Amino acid sequence: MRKREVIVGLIVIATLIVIIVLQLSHSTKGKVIEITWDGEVYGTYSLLEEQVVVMESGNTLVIESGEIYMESATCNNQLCVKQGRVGQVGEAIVCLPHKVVVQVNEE
Amino acid sequence: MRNKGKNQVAMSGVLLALAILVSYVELLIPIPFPIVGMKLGLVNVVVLVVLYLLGTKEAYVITVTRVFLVALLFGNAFSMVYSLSGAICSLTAMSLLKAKTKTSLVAISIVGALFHSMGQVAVAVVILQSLAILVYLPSLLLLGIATGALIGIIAQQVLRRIPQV
Repeated sequence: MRKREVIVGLIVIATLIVIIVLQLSHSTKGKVIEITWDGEVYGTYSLLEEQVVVMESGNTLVIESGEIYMESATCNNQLCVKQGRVGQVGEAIVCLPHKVVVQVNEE
Repeated sequence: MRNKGKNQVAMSGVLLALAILVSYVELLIPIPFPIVGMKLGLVNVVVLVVLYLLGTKEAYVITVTRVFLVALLFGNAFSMVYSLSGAICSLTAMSLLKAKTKTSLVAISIVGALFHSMGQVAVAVVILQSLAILVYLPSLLLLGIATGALIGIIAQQVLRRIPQV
């Protein structure tokens, strides 16, 4: 690789690291979640209330101790289940096959 | 001259089969990071080899055919839309860099990986009608630089060892 390419690469890496660090340092615990299904708002739920949301799309979302996780989904890649627990503002669980987005918001 | 054409067609067929196989192998590799869309991008080794060995046109034909066949065999219509957007974005960026600049193979591979992620995320934003997925983009891109470099190095070694068509 040429010197110029390495410099450009390092600048890109540095920028990305700064963005990720900013994302992490600005994170605060979320209070509500908003579920979007196929582009439309499906519902808003409080993160402080422990509950299980069973969706018609085939996704089962669990709200537990201020965090959420997808317990099960009837899709074949199971990526949303593997995403595990999230709870910081701005974080999201995304299920591409069912077009479901669960986003954590401040309030 | 006639022989050369035949060899090219044969090579395209072999590389297409290889691309489909590699796509399948990639599905079997478990992903340790819980990030949507994160993967190694092994198939880009084949795409780079096609791009350098056969040319841009062949690379497009093989890529589109590969995405279509892989979706038919192992995926569904949704997975096809995502793979196609990523693959086309990535290939367009790589072929332009190769044709218009003197960028090295490894750097082209990295740019390809980055454009693959960006293309997929862009389509996801449109399909999901939600910007939420953009949160993952910075980490996807950072990982893309690492995997892109690795794939570029592998492709370089492969190209050094296989004969010209």
